[in-house]
Amino acid sequence: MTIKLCTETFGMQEPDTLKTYIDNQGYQAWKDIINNQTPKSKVIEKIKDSGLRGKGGAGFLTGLKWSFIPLIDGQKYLVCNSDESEPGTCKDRDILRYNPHAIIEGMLIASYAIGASVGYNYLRGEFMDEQWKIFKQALSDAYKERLIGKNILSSNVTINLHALIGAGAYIVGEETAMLESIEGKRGMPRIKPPFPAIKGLYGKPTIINNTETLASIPKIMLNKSGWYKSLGIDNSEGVKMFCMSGHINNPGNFEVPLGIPFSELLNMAGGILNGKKIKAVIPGGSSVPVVKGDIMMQVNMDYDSISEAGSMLGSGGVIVMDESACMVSVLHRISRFYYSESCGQCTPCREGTGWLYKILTNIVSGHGTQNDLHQLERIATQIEGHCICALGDAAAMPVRSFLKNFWTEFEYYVDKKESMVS
Amino acid sequence: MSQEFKISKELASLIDNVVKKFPSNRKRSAVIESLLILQHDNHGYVTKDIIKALSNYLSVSEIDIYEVATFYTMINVAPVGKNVIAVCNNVSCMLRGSDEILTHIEQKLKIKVGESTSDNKFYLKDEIECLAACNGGPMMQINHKNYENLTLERVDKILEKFDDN
Amino acid sequence: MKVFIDNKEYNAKPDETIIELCDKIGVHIPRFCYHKHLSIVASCRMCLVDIEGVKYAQPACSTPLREDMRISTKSEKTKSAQKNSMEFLLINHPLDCPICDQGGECELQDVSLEHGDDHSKYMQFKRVVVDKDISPLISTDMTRCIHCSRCVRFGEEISNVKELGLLNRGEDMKIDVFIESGVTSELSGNMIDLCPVGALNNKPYRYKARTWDLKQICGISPHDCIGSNINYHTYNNKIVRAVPFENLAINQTWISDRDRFGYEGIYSNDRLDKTLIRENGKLVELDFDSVSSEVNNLIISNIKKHGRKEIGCLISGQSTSEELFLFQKIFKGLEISNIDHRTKERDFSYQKSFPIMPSLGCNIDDLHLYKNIILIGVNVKTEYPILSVRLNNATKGNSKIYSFNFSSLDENFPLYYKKVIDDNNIEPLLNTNDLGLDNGETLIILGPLISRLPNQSNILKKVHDFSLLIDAKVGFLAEFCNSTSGWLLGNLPHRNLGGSTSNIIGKNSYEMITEKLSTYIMYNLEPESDFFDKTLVEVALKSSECNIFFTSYITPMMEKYADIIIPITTFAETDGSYINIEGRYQVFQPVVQPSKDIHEGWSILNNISILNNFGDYTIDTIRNELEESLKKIDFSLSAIDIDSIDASNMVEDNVIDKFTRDTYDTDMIVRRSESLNKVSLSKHKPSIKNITNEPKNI
Ligand SMILES: Cc1cc2nc3c(=O)[nH]c(=O)nc-3n(C[C@H](O)[C@H](O)[C@H](O)COP(=O)(O)O)c2cc1C
Ligand code: SF4
Ligand code: FES
Repeated sequence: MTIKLCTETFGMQEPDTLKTYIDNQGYQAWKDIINNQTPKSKVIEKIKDSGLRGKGGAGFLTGLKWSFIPLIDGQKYLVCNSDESEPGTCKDRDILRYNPHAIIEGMLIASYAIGASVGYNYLRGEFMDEQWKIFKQALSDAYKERLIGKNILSSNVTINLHALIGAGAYIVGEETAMLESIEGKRGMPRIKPPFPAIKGLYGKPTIINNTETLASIPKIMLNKSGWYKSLGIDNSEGVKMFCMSGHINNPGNFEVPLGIPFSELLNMAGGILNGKKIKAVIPGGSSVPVVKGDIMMQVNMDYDSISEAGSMLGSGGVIVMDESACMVSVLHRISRFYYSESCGQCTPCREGTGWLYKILTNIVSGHGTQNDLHQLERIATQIEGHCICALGDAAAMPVRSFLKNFWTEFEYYVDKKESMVS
Repeated sequence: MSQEFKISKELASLIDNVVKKFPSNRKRSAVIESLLILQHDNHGYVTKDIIKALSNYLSVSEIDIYEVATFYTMINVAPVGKNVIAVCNNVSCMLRGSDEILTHIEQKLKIKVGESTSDNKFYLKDEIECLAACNGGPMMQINHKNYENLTLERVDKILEKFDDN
Repeated sequence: MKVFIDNKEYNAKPDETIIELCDKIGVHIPRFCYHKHLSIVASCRMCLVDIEGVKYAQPACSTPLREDMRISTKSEKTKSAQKNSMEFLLINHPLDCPICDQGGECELQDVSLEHGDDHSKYMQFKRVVVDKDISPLISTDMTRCIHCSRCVRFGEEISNVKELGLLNRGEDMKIDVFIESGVTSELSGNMIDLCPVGALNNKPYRYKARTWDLKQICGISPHDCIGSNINYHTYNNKIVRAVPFENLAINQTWISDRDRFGYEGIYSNDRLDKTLIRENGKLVELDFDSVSSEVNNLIISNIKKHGRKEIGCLISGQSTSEELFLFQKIFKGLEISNIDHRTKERDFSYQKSFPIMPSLGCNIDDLHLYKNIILIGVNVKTEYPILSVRLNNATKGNSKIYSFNFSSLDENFPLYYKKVIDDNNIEPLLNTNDLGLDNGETLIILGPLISRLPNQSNILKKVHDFSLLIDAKVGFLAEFCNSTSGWLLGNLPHRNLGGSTSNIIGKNSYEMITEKLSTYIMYNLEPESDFFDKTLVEVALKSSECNIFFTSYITPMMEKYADIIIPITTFAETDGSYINIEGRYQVFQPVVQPSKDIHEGWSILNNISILNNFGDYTIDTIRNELEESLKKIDFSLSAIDIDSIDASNMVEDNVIDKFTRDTYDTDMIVRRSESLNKVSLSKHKPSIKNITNEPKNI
């Protein structure tokens, strides 16, 4: 059971063109707003009612976030977060290349609702060759139709949208680091509060939303109130794109109602590779805790169920591992990532991620000890909750959950100096 | 060795287009994209002279630009081979066998990650980030172009294509 | 707002952070990245504290207090959070304290003793960072860096010249420069103080002493009229280092590099340590016991021989107020009216209507209250680095700064308007329409370059008229640290102690030199560099009959032309006081003892005073009399009020060779600082742009 929101044009002929988008009711919601001069508060109200939760990782209620924008006049900004770099996540990339106009329309509606006259879509540097070009083309087509720019459709509304490109830094996906990056600086997260809605880009009120979040907006606006909500379940309203990767037969993006059983999702992705047994799942991008396969098979894909299973829905990057996966090596690889991506400002993250990685390197090269395992546990606990942004936690959570769920496998590795699965 | 670098008219107009995206007193915002533009024009890396020239052009201090250039992994401050190969070996790709792909390329090109081939044709980037193509793993980027669902044979074929140019 | 720290109730101001309150009430919280004059980054995580009801310990430096917040600075949770941060910091920190100059005053060492664990569980390799030569004043051991970023923020926020940056990221992050020797800011030494570990060190001080062997004595800057407070550190009766002494009204927690390294000049090779007298054309040593009578005899006999009008008395504005007091006491007492301290000037037509003393016109701490600050003939960045901190701060508020100079000079704060002017024609600069002044108070500040011009009177008049037109105050920055006392205490040809007008108007310094007198008495002056024109001084000294020098250094001209040269103490070896440009009177004690045959300048002058029955003073009685005379001064007269200038007295000469005052050439002592000379040599024009608002006119 898939629902086509962000993925509507996927698989069509020339999915990224303005024509295809318009043929599928594209820009209708935006034109309605412009023509009816819909009050901003009404737009925000509708998004609030829909229950839409941010798809970037934290699952924060989008309408609520928008309502934090001060009502006073003055420059405000909208930022679309297309930095997609959480390992296991590859949904925004497909929206960018197959349905760019949905993002643009979503950005327009969001800008309108919060009173921003300028919006930026920040794409990660690695999207330079394909997604960036497509998105820029889409922007320029929409400009030509006067859907963006000065005096949009002769309405006196002015909203300019620009495409920006990053240059390789996972941390820039963190919203305040992204603002720093847009300001032309190192991508180092800021201290919160003040939150971006109060003091964001160039010190002005700013809303940052994920690509998928914004691409969902047009359809929500176009449909009746209650429609989006009805697709999902309580507290996990609507739909979500899940990026299925790892040991499965049919990796891909699946846009499904929130709350569907994981097993069903796994089926859609063709089941486990070569009919092997499922061992573990990281359900929301590499920074969330790992869950044992058999437990995961009982879990539904919604915020609460996954949280009960001890993990998080996160960005929707579902990494599936079968019995051949060596948990020590997987954790080693994950911790290498956070070690290399720490921006370096917070002491626990800068020094701690390196320490974790070095210990794990020791272990996989056969020099680990039992004590090392306890050290890993201890260091992770010391990092957790003690940093400016969540990268520190993102580095700590996998370590703690891998150890907790697969302790014997780690013990085996340090005792036998080799992996339990090889 | 260092001849003073001048930003050419063509490059300047590209940079001007970047500057235009931002409020008029926020030229610094253009630093990252400008570095990518200048790097593209200079065999894939920026020199201190280039940074100096950009510093003058945007009225941003050299050290501010240097900070940015060293923070972001896609900006190189040292020479690299002509074609940049980045093999994703983060979790999802690793589960699909990216380590084998990487080892294969290392052996084939006789270099390790982080090195360029002696003929400077290839630079094998130490790609630690996930390249957001998890459903196409194992995958790699060559000059930012994606090659997905790789097998050893496909890799050989793809690399061959770079023989002609 | 009521809050509780360690179960005690306190009243907190809105927006006050936990660390601010704790610092105020004396509850110690360890910190590395936090500094009260820098922005908050909350990155070192050393200040984590336990807040009731909050799951994780929070940084005290960035967490604002809330009503009824309860903070435990000593609970288990606080302690373990801090211990953990410490452990992380020490992972990559070398344990080389025994060979580190910071040892004994290292915040890391202190904090780790108090909050750290006794041993580390870290067994991996430590990071090593290759060092670069960043400046002649700062040595680096970057492997010790703990990435608190204080030095970087100092460049971004205080000196406003960003020279150090944070390169790379994560564990590879390092502090570095863009180019070798790239640190050239006039305030760079402050980064040494800011660095909580031994990564940035005082290069000249390197390995000179261990901190626990040092004695500390506070002094006042002898190098500019701002009056920064400085702590001198001595070892075996020798100054080995200078650091700021916090004075929030003046220098806050900063000092300029000139103030930090200038003291080296007192150990120069040409320091004079014996009295020399000329006998048969040769300079020979004179026993100290006969110095005063010998000098006095020379003075008295020359008065008798040529008359009082043939005696010229010149004293430097770098002398202490006590010296300046006794100097005029003696010579005015001897009814000599050729007295002056303004040795760099040549046009004095303005003097009659000049205020009681040059004054900034406001407190340093109040500069930011002016909407418009118009700088004329001054490069604050190089001449008064400490003031640039204040002006930079003012621009972050509501102040606009305008700069007029004779050549294009960069400032390290944003200029709203910048123009190069011609000293012969300054009319165009005084065009209000062009300036775009904001409504609100305006302050015009004139630098000493103006006072050196051959037509300074004319310019003062025009600026005065202009100030009336735009309703602005006029302030001055002076040539020397104590030029103010030179004026107030009557070391002038036309005014006496306390500013009263003299009956007889004597010759000013220009007239004394150009009219070739028979006797010159020069106190604390270097004939080669402290006058408006070196060649004219040489002509004068050559043609005169008797030249008496009181000086700390012997120079070639002295060797050639002196009849007697008396060694005197420098600022560091004497009791003294200076009056800064705000009118703030600050006293100081000797930091070190001079060598055996050098005596305190004031005591030598006192001996001459005794010989002439002008009184026998102690440092206290001088100060009493001095303070008494200052009390009578009507400071409301300190506004400039020039009705007309006596144009007949104006000097016609255009031999201005330069329009800049070199930072490290401002006085005799600085000129002799070895380290600062190295900086002057290594200085290349920094290409860093600081002007955020493009200046309208250049
Ligand atoms: C280390 C880190 C990396 C992040 N990376 C991304 C990212 O790549 N894309 C994204 O949309 N959000 C990312 N986020 C979340 C953003 O900070 C932010 O919450 C999100 O963009 C908000 O959008 P939403 O409310 O629409 O989810 C990241 C957060 C952290 C702490
Ligand atoms: S937690 Fe890590 S990535 Fe996040 S701000 Fe701190 S150092 Fe940077
Ligand atoms: S002093 Fe608070 S985090 Fe550094």
